Amino acid sequence: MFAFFRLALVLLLGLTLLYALVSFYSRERRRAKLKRRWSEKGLTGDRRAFIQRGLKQYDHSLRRRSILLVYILPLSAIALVIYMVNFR
Amino acid sequence: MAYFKWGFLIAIWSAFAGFLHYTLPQYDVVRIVSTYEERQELDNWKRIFWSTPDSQSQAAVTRDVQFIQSFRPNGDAVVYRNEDTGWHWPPYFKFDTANLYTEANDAVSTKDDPEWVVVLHYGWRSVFLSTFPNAISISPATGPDDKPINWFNIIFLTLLSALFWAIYVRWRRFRRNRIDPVLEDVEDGFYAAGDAISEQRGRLRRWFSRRKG
Repeated sequence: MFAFFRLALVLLLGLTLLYALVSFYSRERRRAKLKRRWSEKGLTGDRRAFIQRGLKQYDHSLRRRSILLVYILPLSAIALVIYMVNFR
Repeated sequence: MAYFKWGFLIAIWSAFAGFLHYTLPQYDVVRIVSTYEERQELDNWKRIFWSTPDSQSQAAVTRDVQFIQSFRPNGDAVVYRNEDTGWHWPPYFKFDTANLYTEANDAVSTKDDPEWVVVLHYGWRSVFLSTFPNAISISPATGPDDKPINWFNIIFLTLLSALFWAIYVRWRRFRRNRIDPVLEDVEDGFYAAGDAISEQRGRLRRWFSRRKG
């Protein structure tokens, strides 16, 4: 059972690191996009509020939720391999 | 320097290719002849070519290993070991060793009435090191000429090369934009310093020659 817990720990740490990196990168990209849109459209007013509003929309978006695939894909791949190797 | 660089690169990439060739699954079409168990001494560096069973003490240096003996259609002998990989590397998550042994025994056939099966396996057979590929699963083959398509390897290697290509392109772009300009600056600095030094030396030499003359 020790090997199972070791694998679980390694996966948890590795995937969490990957998740953090991907979500940080994705959020910063959205921020850069909002800044670009601000200057391209020549908007006036509170620039910071505009960016904050855009980021808040991003936080509820499907794109942000889909980063959870970082966990889902490898774990389902493992489940699929276990099924294919042992039960078919 | 160029020889050293290329030698280093070739060594790294061949080690990586060898690692992939050892780890990735392959199909064999064989006729199973027999199965046997043999006690193995696992106390030296060749330990890496055997699995790490979960149910036993890690300190155990000998244990029984199951083997599957078979023949290819061209008459070459192939011997597989049959071991759990469990939660260890490589990630086949094989737990059904006893079931596979039963299936292998069920598929035993004679030369006169051959039953051809496809054996999925990974690993290398080396007669010098006494290493054996590990059988993962056994399924019926259509005949001795059956050639199963290894879809997993096709998809996996395509994705892997795409990943490497993406990293390589980004690294090259990063180097062109960030590292090369800095290096050029440093190089210019060196040349400037070199010119200054040679000028000084020339002046010194002229001074010496004036003394001698």
